[in-house]
Amino acid sequence: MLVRASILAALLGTATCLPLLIRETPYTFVLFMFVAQPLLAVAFLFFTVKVFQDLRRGHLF
Amino acid sequence: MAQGLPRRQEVKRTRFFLPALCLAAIVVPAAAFAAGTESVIPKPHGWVGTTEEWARGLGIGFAILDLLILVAAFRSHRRTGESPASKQLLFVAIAVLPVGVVFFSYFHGLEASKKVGACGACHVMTPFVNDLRNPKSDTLAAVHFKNRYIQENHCYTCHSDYGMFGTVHAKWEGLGHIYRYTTGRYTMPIRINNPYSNLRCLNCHGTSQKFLDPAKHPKEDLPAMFSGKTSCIDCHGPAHPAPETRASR
Repeated sequence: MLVRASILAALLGTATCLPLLIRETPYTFVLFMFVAQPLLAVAFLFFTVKVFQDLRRGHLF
Repeated sequence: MAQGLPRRQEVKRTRFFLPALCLAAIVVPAAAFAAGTESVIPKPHGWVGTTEEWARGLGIGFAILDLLILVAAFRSHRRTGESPASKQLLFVAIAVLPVGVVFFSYFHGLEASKKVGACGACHVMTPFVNDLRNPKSDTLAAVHFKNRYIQENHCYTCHSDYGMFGTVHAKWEGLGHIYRYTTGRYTMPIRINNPYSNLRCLNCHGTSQKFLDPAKHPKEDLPAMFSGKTSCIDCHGPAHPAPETRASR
């Protein structure tokens, strides 16, 4: 579940970065600043949580 | 032995094909954006584009590559569950490539936001940009633009303070402008937030012979100019069209 949520957030985050790179407008900049970055951060957070869960399960952490 | 050889060759081909595909996904958009700039003035021999154009292309390349890897990782995760290969792919797609995408997006976004086109992208700025580009206009902004007193980033050069924190402050204010414009939290006619600082003018003009000529700027008037008591725009303005004439320009 965490992995899928993480992939989905990363997909959406990366996809919302693309409009800014293609054409810079106030809307694409806001999308990048306030949507894309939080989504990518959430994806990274979920992935980190999953990694720690796996490490705990394997008694490695 | 006979069956093992083609399999080894296939593995070798895959090993070569995947990095080549990744490299192509990054370099091709970067090169296309660097080479595809439109300009009237011919480029010098060996022109490979500007840093900003490369950053933009690399950003698109990294984003495309990241999307491809994420889709592949998602499919692999759905088919085989969690495997070492899918975990490695996920690490690259979630923890490594997004850093590049965000870095290049920032780089491109901040550089592109300095351009006149970026300021003109908000419709409230259209009269200002139209006036700026009007060769018949005699406002300060238009005079600076048509005579190329400023080479590029015309709005940004006059509306940002100098030094590291001046740039940071300008970016922060710009982000506020973008937020207020997108959410509609502004009132018309728009006005400059703070009184325009003479130091922005003096950064370029302050050491010119024209400015230092006592016949034009008497020495006893200089302290008032430096302190901001007398505004440059009082004598040399208007900088932009007045609010009531903005709509017709």
